Amino acid sequence: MLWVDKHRPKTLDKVIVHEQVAQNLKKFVAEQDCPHLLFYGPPGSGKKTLIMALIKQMFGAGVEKVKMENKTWKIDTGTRTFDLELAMLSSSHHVEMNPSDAGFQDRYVVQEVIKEMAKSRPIDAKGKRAFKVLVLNEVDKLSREAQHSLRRTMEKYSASCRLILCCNSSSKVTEAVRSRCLNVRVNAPTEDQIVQVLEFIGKKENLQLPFGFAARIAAQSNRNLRRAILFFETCKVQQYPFSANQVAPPLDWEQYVSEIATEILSEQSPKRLYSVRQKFYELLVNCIPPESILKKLLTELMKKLDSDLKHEVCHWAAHYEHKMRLGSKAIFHLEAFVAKFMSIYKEFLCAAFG
Amino acid sequence: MESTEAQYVEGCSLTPIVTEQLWVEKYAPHSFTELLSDEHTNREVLLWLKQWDSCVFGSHIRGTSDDTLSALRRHSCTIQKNSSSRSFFSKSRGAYVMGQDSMPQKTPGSNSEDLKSTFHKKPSVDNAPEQKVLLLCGPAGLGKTTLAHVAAKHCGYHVVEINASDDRSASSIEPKILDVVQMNSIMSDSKPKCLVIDEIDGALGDGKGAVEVILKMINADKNNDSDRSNGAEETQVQKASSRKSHRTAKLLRPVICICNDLYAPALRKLRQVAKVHIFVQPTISRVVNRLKYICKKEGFKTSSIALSALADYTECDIRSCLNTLQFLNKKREALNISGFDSQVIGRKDMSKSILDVWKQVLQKKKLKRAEMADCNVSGDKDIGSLFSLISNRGDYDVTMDGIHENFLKLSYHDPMLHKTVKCLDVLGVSDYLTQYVYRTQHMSLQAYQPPIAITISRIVAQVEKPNIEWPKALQRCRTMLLEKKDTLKTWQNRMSPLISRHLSVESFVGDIASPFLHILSPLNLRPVALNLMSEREKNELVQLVDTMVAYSVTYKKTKFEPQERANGSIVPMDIPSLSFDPPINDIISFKDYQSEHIGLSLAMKQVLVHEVEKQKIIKDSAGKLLNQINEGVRSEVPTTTCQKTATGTACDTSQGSSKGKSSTLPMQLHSASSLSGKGLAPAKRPSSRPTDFFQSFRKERPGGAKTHIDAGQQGATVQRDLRPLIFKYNEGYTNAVKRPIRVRDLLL
Amino acid sequence: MAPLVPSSQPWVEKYRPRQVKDVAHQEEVVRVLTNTLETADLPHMLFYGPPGTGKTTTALAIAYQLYGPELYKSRVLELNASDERGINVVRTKIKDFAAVAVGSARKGGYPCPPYKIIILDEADSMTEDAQNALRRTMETYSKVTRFFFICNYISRIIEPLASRCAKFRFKPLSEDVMSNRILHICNEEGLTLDAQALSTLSAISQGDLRRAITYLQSAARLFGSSISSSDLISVSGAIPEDIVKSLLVACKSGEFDVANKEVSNIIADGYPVSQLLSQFLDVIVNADDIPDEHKARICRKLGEADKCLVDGADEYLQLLDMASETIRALFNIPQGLVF
Repeated sequence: MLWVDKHRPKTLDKVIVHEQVAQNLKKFVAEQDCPHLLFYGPPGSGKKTLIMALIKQMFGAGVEKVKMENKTWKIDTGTRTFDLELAMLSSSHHVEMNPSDAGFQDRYVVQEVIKEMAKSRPIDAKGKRAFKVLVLNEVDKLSREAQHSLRRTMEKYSASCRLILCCNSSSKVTEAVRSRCLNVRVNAPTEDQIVQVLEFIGKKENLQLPFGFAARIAAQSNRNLRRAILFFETCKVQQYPFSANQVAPPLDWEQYVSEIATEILSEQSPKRLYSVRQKFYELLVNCIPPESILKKLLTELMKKLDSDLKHEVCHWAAHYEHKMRLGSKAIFHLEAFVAKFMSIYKEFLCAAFG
Repeated sequence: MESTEAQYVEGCSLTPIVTEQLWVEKYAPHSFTELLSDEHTNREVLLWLKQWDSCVFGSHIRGTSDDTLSALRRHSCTIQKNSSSRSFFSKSRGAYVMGQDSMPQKTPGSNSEDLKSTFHKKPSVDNAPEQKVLLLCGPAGLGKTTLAHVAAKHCGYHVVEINASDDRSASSIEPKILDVVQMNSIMSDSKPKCLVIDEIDGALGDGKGAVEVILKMINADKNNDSDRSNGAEETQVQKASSRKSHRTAKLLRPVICICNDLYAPALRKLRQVAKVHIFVQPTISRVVNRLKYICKKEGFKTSSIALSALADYTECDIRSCLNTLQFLNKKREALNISGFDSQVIGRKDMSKSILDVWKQVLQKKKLKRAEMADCNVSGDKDIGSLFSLISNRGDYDVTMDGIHENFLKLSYHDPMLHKTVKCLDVLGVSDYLTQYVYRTQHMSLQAYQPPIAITISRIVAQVEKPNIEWPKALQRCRTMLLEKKDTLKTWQNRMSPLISRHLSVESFVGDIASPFLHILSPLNLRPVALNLMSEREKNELVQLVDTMVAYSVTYKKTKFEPQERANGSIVPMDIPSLSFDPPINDIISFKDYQSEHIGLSLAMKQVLVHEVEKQKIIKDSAGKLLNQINEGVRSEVPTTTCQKTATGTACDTSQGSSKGKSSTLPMQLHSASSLSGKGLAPAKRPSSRPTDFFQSFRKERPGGAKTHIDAGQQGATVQRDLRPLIFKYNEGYTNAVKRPIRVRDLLL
Repeated sequence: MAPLVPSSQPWVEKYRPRQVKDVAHQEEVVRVLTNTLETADLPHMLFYGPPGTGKTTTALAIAYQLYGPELYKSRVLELNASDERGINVVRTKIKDFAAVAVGSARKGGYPCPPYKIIILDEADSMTEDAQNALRRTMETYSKVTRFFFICNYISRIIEPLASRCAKFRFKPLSEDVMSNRILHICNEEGLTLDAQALSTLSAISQGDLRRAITYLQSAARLFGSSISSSDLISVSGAIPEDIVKSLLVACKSGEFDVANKEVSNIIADGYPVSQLLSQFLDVIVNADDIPDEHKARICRKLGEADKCLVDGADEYLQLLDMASETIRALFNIPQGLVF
C-alpha cells in the first residue's frame, strides 16, 4: 500500500497533526452526547481520516468491515417516479456516501437515505436504542435545494441518526445547516507539522533522512499533507539513499499549466489564444477541475508580473471564476480570463516599452 | 325583419362570385419543359425513377423518348455550359454509358462518382435500384414537390402524396405506405403508385414516424437481397442487421421524400440509405424569365429590374414571388422596389440550417455600391434579419458553441485584444443566461440570446468566407470527460473500500496521479529471476507488487503503445505491449507535453504482471486457508520467498502437468472437484474429499513448527505439506508424450 | 459502545420562558399581550425581527397560557419551515384545521377563548402562492381561528397578509439583557464564566440569545464547567481577532505579496471566509485611522465579495481580490489601470 494509506492514523489517539481536535472529539464520544458534526477545511488536511477515527472510537473495530454497494433508490416526487443509483459504503453501524454524485437529483437522495436509515434503528448490547451514523461527503457541492431538504430531514430524524458532514469550504454550506451542526475546523498542517509526520514515517520505514530533506519536501507540498507523503515516497522509489538535493518531480498537470503560462506571456494574439484553448481542452478532458486550472494559472502568471498588474489580474481572475461558477461551460470563461490577461499585459508592454 | 333579410339576400346576390385560381397553381408546371429546376436535377430524378422500371413495369430500362430529350435540350440554360449537347442515354442494353465531361462542374451535393457508377453498374433484371428512396432537399419554393410530381407522372406512375397536413405517426402511415408499395393494385386503370412524402423533416423522429417505417422496409429488403447484391456498392446503403424473422413488406415502389433541412435529426438515418439530391437556387434570370412570361399572360405590367429585385429578395422562391405578384395585381399596384418591406411578401416559414446561421453571423455581406451610401438603414435591416434568423433557428446552445469554436480563426484586426475580450465576455453572459434559464425555467429570457450573437457579429465579422467547423471540441471534451470519470469510478469500485473511501476523483487527479505513477515505476528494478535479485531489490519488488494489488492496478495487453519512452527508445507501433489497466497514465498525458514519468521496460512489466497475479492468488487463498499457514514469524521476505518458491514450483508443476498426462489424472480429480474451468485452485484442505490423492501426504502437524527450519526428510515433508499447494489448471488436450510421474518428485 | 440518545435537552428548550411576562426585554409586546390574555381578545399577529430575539417563544407562550397543556394539542397548529407548507398543504391541512368550530368552555383555570391558533413559523420562506392562498382562508375563518406569523423580514410577507395582522417588532437584545439571562443559566448549570468570556459571548452571538445559549452549551460539553473566552471562540466558529487584524495590517503595508501570503495562510487554516468578511467589516468600520471614502470603497467591495461567495465562487480568489482592493483603497490607487 502507499504510505499515505499505510500510515494513516486509525484511532483518535494516533492522530499526530490535529491533536487538539482529536482530544475534543474524544470528549464527545466519552460523554455519549454527540451532536451533528460538520468537518471543514482545505483538501489534504485530514478530515476523512479524523472522521474515520472518530467512528472507530464510537463503535469499535466493527466499522472496518465495510462493503461497497450500488444501491438503487426508487424516488417518487409526486409527479414522476424514477430510479437513482448511488454507491454507498456501509458497515453495521454507519453509512458513508457522496450525495453530490446524483447530480441534479441530489435532494431526493438526501431525503430518502436519511428516512431509510431512521427506520432501521439498531438495538445495542444493553437493549437501549442506539443510532447510526451517516457520513456525507462533499456537502458543499450539493445544490441549494438539497441543502434545504437536508436541514429539514436533520431536524426530523435527529433522534435516530447522527450526521457527520464533510466539506472543503464551509461558505458553500447554507447557514441553516451550519447552525444545526457543530463546526469542526480542520486546518491544513503547518510545515513543521508536516516535517514531523514525514520523520515519523521515515522512522517507521527505517529510512535515513538527510538534513533539510523533510523541510524541502514540506515546502514543495504547499501545506498539503497527502502530497507531502506522496512526494516522500516518490523520492524514495526514485533514489535511496536520498541525495543531498533531491526533490520530488512536480505534478504533471501543474507542469502543463506553467507551460501554458509561459506561452501566454510570450505572445498575446488571437492565434495564441486559440492554441491555449486546445491545451485547456486537454486539461479539462483529464478531469482537472477548472477552478484549479484557473488558480494555478494565476499563481504562475503572477510570478512574473509587476505589483500594479497583480492587483488588476487577480481582480479579473476572481471575476471570471465567479462567472464560471454561474455558467456551465468552463472553457468560455477560462478563455475570457486569458484574453483579458493578454490584453492587459500587452497594453502594459506597449506603455512601458513604447 | 323580413325586409332586412330580403335586403341581405339581395346584397349577397349583387356581388359577383369570383373564382380565381392562384397563379401558383394556374401556372404550375405539368411537364419537364416548364420546370425551373436545373437540367441535371431533373435528369437525375428521372433516371432514378427509370431504374424502377424493371421492377415495377417488368421491362428493361429503355431510353427516354426523343421529344423529352429535345425538350430538355431546348430549355437548357445558357449558363450551364455542359450537358445539352452530349448524348445522354444510350440505347445499349441495360447499361448506361455516361460521358465523363457531361458532368456539370458545380453541382453541390451530388456525387459525380455516384452518378457515374449508377450508370456503369448493371442493374439486375428484376431488381429495384439499390437506393430505394430518393431524398430531395433544399430551400422553399424551388420546385421540389413539383418536380417529384411531374417526374413520377411522366414515368407512368400515379402519385400518392403524404405531406405535413396528414397524420404521420407510425401507426397511420404504415398502412398507407404498404398500400402504395405492394404490388397488387386494386384500381382498374392500374397505374402503379409512387409515394411522395413531402416535408419529411417535420416527421416525428425517433422511431415513431414515417422515417422509421421506410427504414424498416429498406432493411427488410436489404436482408432479402443481400446475397444478390453487387460487390462494392458505393456506399451509404446500410448493411442492415439481421431481422429475418420479421418479415416486412419489400419496397417495391419508388419513394420520394422531400425536405427542407437536410441535417434535421429525424433524417439522419434516412440520409445514409437514401439517394440524396440537393436543390440549389436556380439562377435569377431563369426565374425572371418565367415571371415575365406569367406577368405577360396575366397582363401585369412590370419591369425586369423589379422582377429581379423581387427574385433576389425572396431568394428565388418562386412561390412567394408569384403570390406577391398576384396580390399586387389584385390591388392594382405596381411592383415597387424600394418598398419591399411594406409590401406583404409571403415567405415560407423555414428555419435555416445551423451552418447557414454561423456563416451569416461570421461573414459580413458584401455591400453593394448603392447600399453603402445608405449605411444606417442597411445596418438596421441586417440586424433585423440576423435576429429573426437566429431566433427562428432556436437551439442557442449549439449556435453559441459554433460561434465560439470559429470566431478566433477569423482575421480581424485586434492588436490589444479588446475585441476578443468583448466577444468572450459576451459569450460568458450567454452561458450564464442558459444556465439560469435551465435552472429557473424562465424561458422568456432566451430572447436575449440573439443579440449576443449579433454583438459578436458586429465586432468580428469579416467579408471573406469563413471556414466553418462544427464545434466538436466541446462535445468531444464532454464525452471524453464522462468516459474518464467513469473509468476512474469503476476502478475505485474494484479497490478495497478501506482504501477507496479516501480516494475521490478530484483528489486522485489533483494530488495523487503523478506521484502514484512514479511510485509504480521504479527504474532500478531489473527484470531478472527472483533468486538473482539482491535483498533490497526483492524488498522493493515485494512492496511494489503489494501496492499494485492493493490498488488493483495491473498491466494488460494493448495493440500498440504510443511514444513509450522505455529506456530512451521508442517502441515501434505494432509490437504488442503492456499498458496500465486502468489507464491511469492517460490522466497525465497532455498534448505537446513530455511527462517526466518514464514507464518500465516491457520485460519488467511482464514480470510485474506475473507477480501481481500470484499475489492475488495468494491473497485469495490465504483468506480461505485455515491455520495451515503458520502464523508465527511472518517476516515478509522469507515467507513470501517461500511462498514464491512454492508457487513457482507449483506453476512449474502445472506446466509440467501437460507433459505427463497420467499425472494430471490425480490432479484432475482434485481439480475437478475443487475448481471450475480455468479457475485457480485455492489450496484449501482437501481433507473433506475422500478421493484425494494428497490425503496420504497429510500428517499431523507438529505444534508450532516454523517453516524455515529445514532439517531432514521428515522436516522437509512437513514443510512441504505445510506449504499451500497452488496450481493452475490448464484446460485442453495435448499430444505430448505421456509418462507417469509422481508429484512428489516435482515438489522437492 | 454505541452512543445513546442524548439525555440532556438543549438548554434553549430547557430555559425557554413559558410565560409571556418572562420573555426578555420586549416590553411593548409583552404589555399588549398580557392585556390580551386578560380580555382573551386577540387579533392576527405578525412577529418580525432578527433571529433569536424571542418571537417563537412569545407565540408559544401565549398559546400555552391561553389553553393550558390539555387543550393545547387540539387548539394549536404549528407549522414551521421544516414542514411542507406548499400551496397544497394550505388548501387542505390548514383549511381543514381552521374550519373546525370550537366551544369556549373555561377549563382548568385557562381562559380558553373560542378560537384556535395557527402558528406559522419562519413564514418568510413560504412561497407567494401559498401566502396568497392563505388570505382567503384567514378572512373566511377569522371568527374561529387566529393566525400568528413569525418571520425575520417583514418585506417577505405579502402586503394583503401583513395588513390583516397586528405587527410587532422584536428588537435585538442588548448586551446587559443577554448577560443577565446567561448568568442565570450559568448559575442553574453550575458553570463559571468570567467577565471577559461573558462579553465575548455577547459579541459573537450578535444579539441572538439562542445562539449565545447554544455556544454556551457546546463549550460546556467540550471544556467542562469553567469556560474561557478562547473556548467560546473556538466553539462558535468565529475567527480570532488577531487573524482579522493581521490581515488588515498586511493590507496596510501596501505590498501585494505580503497580503497574498496572509490570504493563503487564512485559507490554509480553513477559516470560513464569509465569516471573515463580516468580522473584517466590523474592524474596518471601527478603525479610526481610515478616512471615510476609503471605508466606503472597501465596504462596497466586501458586499460584492460576499455575493460572489454566496453564488459559490472560490474563497481564495475572492479573498485575494478583496485584499487587493483594500490595498488600493488605502493607498488611493484608482480602480482599473491607467497607462
